[in-house]
Amino acid sequence: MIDEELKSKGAIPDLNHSILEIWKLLAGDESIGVLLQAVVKTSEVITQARSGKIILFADSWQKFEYQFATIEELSLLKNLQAGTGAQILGIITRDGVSLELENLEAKIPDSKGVSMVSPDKSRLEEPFKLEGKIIGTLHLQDKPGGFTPNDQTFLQTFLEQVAVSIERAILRTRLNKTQNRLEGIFEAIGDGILVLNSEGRPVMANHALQRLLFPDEIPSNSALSSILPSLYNPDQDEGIQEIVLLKPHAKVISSHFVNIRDALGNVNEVILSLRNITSGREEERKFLQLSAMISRRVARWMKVLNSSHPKKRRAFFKTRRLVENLFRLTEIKSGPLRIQRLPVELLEILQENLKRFSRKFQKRGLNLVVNIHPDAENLSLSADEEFLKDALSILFMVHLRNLQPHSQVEFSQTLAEKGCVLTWRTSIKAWKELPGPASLDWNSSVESFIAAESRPFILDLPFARHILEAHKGGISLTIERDSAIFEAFIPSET
Amino acid sequence: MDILNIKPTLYAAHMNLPAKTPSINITRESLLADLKSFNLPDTVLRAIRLSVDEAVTNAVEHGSLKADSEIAFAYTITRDSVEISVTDFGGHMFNPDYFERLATVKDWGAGGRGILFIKAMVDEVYFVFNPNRSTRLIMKKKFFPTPPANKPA
Repeated sequence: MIDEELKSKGAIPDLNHSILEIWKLLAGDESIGVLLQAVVKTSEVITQARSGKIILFADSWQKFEYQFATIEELSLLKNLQAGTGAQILGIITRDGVSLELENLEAKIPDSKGVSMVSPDKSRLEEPFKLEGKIIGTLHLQDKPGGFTPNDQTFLQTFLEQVAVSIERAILRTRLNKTQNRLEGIFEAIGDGILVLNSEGRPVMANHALQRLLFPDEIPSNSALSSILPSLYNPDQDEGIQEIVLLKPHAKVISSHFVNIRDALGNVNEVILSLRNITSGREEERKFLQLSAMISRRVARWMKVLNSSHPKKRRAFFKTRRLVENLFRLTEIKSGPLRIQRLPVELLEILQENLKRFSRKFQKRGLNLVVNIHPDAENLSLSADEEFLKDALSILFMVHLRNLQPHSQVEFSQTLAEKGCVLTWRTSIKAWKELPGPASLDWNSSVESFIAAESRPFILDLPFARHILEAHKGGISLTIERDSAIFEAFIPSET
Repeated sequence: MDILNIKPTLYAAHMNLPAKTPSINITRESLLADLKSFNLPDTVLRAIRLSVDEAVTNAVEHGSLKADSEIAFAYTITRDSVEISVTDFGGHMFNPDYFERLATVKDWGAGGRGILFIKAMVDEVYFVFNPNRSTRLIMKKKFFPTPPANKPA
């Protein structure tokens, strides 16, 4: 393809040098502006044209991740464009890159995307394509002896190859830009972000995570390696955990994970977000502790206070009930009940309760029918005696307070696998207001109180449930035809 | 600390046991047997023994509502430390700090002392709560205390 004329004039070394230079630029990740200038220069050398330029039209220069003009220059051009309707053209010569407003009066003749040599052979125009679209034209002028078909052919091939390389260079620049942006976002986020690979090992972490887990005062610790296996689950798409770094950090962290899966559904990466919620939890802890301590103290005082005046006495008992239930709420909210297990005889506890409540039931005109299994005598439990007595007392008291006079309660104790069941059976009609299963749930009781302040604030049943659950037992309330049945299950061993 | 060089802890010993009292002995004795060859000072062994007892007791007692549930006990021993993991599958959230502080209140009762002891006896204590699924307690005890930094004259 090399022109014989070039050979005869000894221009080959210059041509080789030019081509070599441009391939070096393409391989060396140079800026688009420098590349395009080199394309113009090489085209001039190949064809021996005296001058050349690439004109990019219809704002196509915006495709390139390159600053063709300063912000002020661009702003000026856009203002002028708005007034005249002319295009902003990108102009590239061997010496530089710039933007110009199209001169509508002396418009550069355009081959309209077709390779062309002027009739006097003094001008050559070759379309410049990028990403399959013609975005401009290479204009060459004044070749001694005129441009030839060889020049056209060579330039077509040359520009095609250059276009492919420029597309790759643009892609690299865009990817770099996106990567920089993502890295910026990654570091700007206040939460700790951690990316794990498919083996659960960290591959990326931001500085916020570093500060959270490895603060200056404890630069070396095992927190991350210890908690990492618990922070995600490949069987779920996402999940949350709460982490308490009790020692040495004294921090509470909320953790959220998301699994990124490949096309086959295997976990590719795990993204973890960790947020420091210490101050919020600290306030919650303070509230719970304060509430527990105050209500405990007041409950103690209430026990010793008394009054003979009926109205004051009623107010006193109502206040005492309120404080008792507030204390129960803080116990329930703070987590599983802490109990002290010791060997206790169930029969002793039952007999104590039955003795106490038989009299009260009688006073209220209620009939208590008792049926205890003979083997109860031999049944010993590992339990917290005081709390267990409380739980049973609550269940008797609920019946005592809420049944119509002359009603009957059938109380029975039966043996079950690994424990025993205590049952209170009554007729539905015996109840002034039959409690529902929701009455065993503290949340429902609180909502009910909030919704209608006139309702009493009572957590008797939820607290009894709390006690039995701490013993690995439970309470249930079922309605069977016309009977209401409370059942308490107490395991005999743990 | 170079986070990208951190590997999740891999436990050399791992056992699933019933959430019952006998499991406390089993876990403790298994760990102590493996620590025998390290000839550790009595104070260190005592601290490890007590903290395992408290941690497993908590898991057995409070970890689940069901009597037939399980706990998971795991540990790994290196040249200079032991890391212990105790997991219950009750999924109950609680505030360890709250219980620890309650335990310091005179006359409050037994609640919270376990956490107080554990915190006093080991070097690192972490809880991971998976709501409604599991609670995991991780403790790390160094065999030899870090010497204090030299104070300036």
